[in-house]
Amino acid sequence: MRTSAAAWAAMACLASVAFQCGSAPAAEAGRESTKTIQVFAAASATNAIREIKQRFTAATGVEVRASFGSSATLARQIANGADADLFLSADTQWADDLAEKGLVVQKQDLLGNRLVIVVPDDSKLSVTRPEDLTSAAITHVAMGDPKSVPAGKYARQALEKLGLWEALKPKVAAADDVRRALMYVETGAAEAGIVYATDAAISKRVKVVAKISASLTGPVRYPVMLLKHGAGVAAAESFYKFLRSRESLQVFRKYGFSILAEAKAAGKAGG
Amino acid sequence: MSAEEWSALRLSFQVAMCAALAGLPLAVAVGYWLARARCGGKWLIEAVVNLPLVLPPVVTGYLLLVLLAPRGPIGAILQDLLGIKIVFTWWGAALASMVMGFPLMVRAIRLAFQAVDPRLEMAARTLGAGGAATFFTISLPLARRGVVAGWVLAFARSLGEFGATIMVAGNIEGQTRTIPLAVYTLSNQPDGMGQAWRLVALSVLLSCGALAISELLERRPSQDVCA
Amino acid sequence: MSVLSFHCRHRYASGFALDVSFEIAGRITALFGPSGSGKTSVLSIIAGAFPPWQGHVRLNERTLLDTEKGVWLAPSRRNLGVVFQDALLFPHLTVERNLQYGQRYRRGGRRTVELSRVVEVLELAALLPRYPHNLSGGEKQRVALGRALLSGPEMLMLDEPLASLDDPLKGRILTYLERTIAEWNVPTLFVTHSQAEVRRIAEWVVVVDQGRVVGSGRPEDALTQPGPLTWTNSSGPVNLLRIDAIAAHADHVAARIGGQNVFLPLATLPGRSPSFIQFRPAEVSLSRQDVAGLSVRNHLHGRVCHVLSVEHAVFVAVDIGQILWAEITPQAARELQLVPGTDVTCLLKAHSLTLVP
Repeated sequence: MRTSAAAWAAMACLASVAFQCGSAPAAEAGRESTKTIQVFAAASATNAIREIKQRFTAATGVEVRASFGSSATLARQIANGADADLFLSADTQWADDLAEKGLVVQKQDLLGNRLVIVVPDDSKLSVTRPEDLTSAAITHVAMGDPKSVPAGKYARQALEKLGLWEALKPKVAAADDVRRALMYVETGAAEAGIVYATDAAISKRVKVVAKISASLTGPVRYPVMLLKHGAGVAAAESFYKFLRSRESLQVFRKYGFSILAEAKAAGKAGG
Repeated sequence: MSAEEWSALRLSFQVAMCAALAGLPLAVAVGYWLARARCGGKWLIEAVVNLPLVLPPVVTGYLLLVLLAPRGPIGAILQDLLGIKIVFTWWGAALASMVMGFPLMVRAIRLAFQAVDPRLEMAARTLGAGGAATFFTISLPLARRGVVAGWVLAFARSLGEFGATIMVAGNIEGQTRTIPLAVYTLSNQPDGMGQAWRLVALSVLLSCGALAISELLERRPSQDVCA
Repeated sequence: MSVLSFHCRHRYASGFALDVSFEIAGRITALFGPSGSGKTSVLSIIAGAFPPWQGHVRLNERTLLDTEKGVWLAPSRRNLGVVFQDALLFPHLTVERNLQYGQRYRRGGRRTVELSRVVEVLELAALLPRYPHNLSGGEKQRVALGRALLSGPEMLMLDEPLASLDDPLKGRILTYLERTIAEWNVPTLFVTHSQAEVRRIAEWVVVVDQGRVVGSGRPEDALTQPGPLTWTNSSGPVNLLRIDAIAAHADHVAARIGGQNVFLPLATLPGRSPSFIQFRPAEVSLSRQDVAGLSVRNHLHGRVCHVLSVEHAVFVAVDIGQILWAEITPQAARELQLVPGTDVTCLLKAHSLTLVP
């Protein structure tokens, strides 16, 4: 008994030491000239941002670390002190929320998107309009969580406007972010899903069967923000400019986003 | 408590019971075999059984989803032959929990059988009891404690199962939103923490309940397990 | 007609090689040999614990195993009653249920064995509601014996049943064993490393050493061969002589052996007559003439009938009405000029004698 108590004590000591090492806070001072920055971006922009940051790194040598997820989750992390320098959000509510908390230095509506209905690419169901989702052959409709994920909130808005929400509510398979919703449709777990057009475009295993009119959702706006954490950091400000440059907007367009902002003239590297 | 909270509680209990009970017969069989077998392929079975223990739950969940979704190999059979879809249902949640808890059950059960003197089984055989009779009248009763312990472990693990469950069963309110999933969902909402705490307390109560039951089941006029 | 026919060869991973062949008929046979000689292995093979490399075993008209013909009966179908060295009672069942377990899978044996009769003969009534961990070693063995009997076996096999018991207890259990065999007439094979047990109870003995059979026959013949005579410790030779009329006096305890008196230690508790006295050949001194003034109490007269020279000793068999063996040095044998037919007196200290019930 005594030896086992000693063993436990030793393990507890080791564990606490490990924790200390793991949670050493990152140094804040002297970030002005750092060569590493952190970007948070909505899941739907994953592919576009990846390509853009590659180009930026190739041109400037600055390392860009990107975190993707639901804008709700990311916003919450930022509000709780996450070390993000920039944030590309999938809707304006979370952006406003952060601005209210004084965490946003610069903001601009950058991209637009629209919702579409997708089904697995080998699906034999006939779905051409939102109303078809109420059919009994569809047991689950995947979408972002209507309570928090922007894509889900837009979808709910649209369905409510169409008077279909109450009927479809029990079928909703709420996903943490829109890419997860896409996966549900890809694997066939959900017979249909409502995702962004940009997400549907990158997946070969789903097909778009209907578009949700912008009048039902209101404009889907993606604001891009320079956060307080990145203020005064040369590399962050540079990337903020780069995101709004013509080159980046071309990339975004390639992935299916519509552009809301005016292209920033020739702002590629440095500066 | 709101309707959603009751629903989460009911689902958690339902899923945990089903998962632990459904996995029990297979876990007993596998545990016994691992305790007694001496063939070379044993390590392979052990490795497969322990996979859910070492893989991240989300990875296990993803594997299950790919297999069981209607477009996956097993899910297609289920869909075409039996017309059932197991993902996004509480059956799917139970299956995910069962898979996650299986290695724990097998581990406890195997240890219990290893502690049963194999010579007692030989003695039973010489008295005329065949393989099955020996197992049910001698081996299993003597390993009872371990089997119960394994069941409780699986039940408790199930109550806390999140990663695999959210993959396979989704997070569908009223159908698959167990307590951990409900807490997670609530934590994403600005005003949800109060409700979340209530659910956490419920979870603790359920686990204590399981432990109490296991204690009761193990109470017997004192006997040694050794021969 | 042989009851059991055993011809097997086996090689263990440790290198130990077993090559044993024997056939036994009759009631009580002992399989005797020093520790590690392979006797328990023989029992294991008969019981079906594992198949030997090569060989066959037949019980009555049935083949239990035959490696050449690919026959191997599962242990549950062999109809043997096995009593293990540590009883192996089922710890989660009461004594009564342990006994009934033997009955439950009864295979309509040679004769029906009644539970109540077993309880009576083995005096188990008081133990029935108890659990195995509440029983003493001797009690466990009795229950194990009862359990094996109740399965109605064609043959009873006991694996060193007395090994874990104290000496006084051994005799008592042997008595129960005798009663059992007398009552139900079950052929019995019992494994032991004690010559005392063999002499006490066996009608026939198969002697094994280092994995081979080195002799077989009636105990008085097979055990007085060079091999068994030289074994030491508990496998060593013993004398077991019948005595009658034990009477306790003020300062001595006396009994009759044939027509002569024999004196026992004062602390001897009178047992039931007839009893046996047990002593080692090394404790017997021989004299060509009567000697007076000795503290040695027992002077037993007899005639030498056999002289056996082994490694470092000479064993002399003296007929005093029963055969008694003495172990003396080769020098003494030469000096006393002991040959068959010589009259000698066997000198035996009272304290060398153990009374065996």
